[in-house]
Amino acid sequence: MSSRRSSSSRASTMSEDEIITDLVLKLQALLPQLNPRKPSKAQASKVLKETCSYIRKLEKEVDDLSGRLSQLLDTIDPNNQDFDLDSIRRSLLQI
Amino acid sequence: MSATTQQLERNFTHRFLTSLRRMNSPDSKTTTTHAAGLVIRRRSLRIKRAAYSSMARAAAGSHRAWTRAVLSRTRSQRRRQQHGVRPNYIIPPSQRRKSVKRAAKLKKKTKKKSVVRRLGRAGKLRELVPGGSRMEMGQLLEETAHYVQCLAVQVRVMQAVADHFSSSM
Repeated sequence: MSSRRSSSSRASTMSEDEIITDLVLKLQALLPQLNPRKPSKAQASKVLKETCSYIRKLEKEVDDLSGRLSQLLDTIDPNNQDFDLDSIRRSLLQI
Repeated sequence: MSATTQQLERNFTHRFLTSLRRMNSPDSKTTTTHAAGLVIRRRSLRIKRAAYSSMARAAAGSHRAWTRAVLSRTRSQRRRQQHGVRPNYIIPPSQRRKSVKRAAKLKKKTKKKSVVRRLGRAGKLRELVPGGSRMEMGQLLEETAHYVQCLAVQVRVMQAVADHFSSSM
């Protein structure tokens, strides 16, 4: 099984550059503050690095927000009023 | 915001709030103020798990590799939290130093080289995207794009929920 895995990774490494160049535009559209210049090899690894730090940043925000929500859950009333889906959705559309 | 993103947001919000509502009911875990901090910390882990599994279900369920990986991860996390952590394997102090040293050496040896050489340039990305270590390069980038999209929605909704709760006190 390990030999199969290594041969497939070798094959994907060969066409890796073409695939990266194609999909780099897609990632660039999702990443904030990224110059949409012509995707080159150097640009591609930069995009990969920025993607990694963006994912890490988002996951850290999830952690922090989970802690904040856990503290807040103690403070709200256990009635349906606070879980009003519509008011939350309304505040979402404003952002 | 595109229509699909709106639908994703709505779907996720509904699932996430449903899980939160379940968590709000008074726990039988503890009532003393001394352990209140522990309750809050434990619940924040549950909230985080609920967020990820709600998003995985809302996003694609079992149709995406990363959502499948997230759902299996949260399932095993839940099981671990329910059954508690097993006590560490007890080593006699005479052998302890040797085995610790051996373990550290092995970890150092295998981790960096194998990740970088075997997985190429996107090694770090494969570690971050759920299920990424098993994907081919093309799929990895596609899944990454989708994962990032959904993560951004998840954060936005959690932020809105937290703001809503803190304002309606």
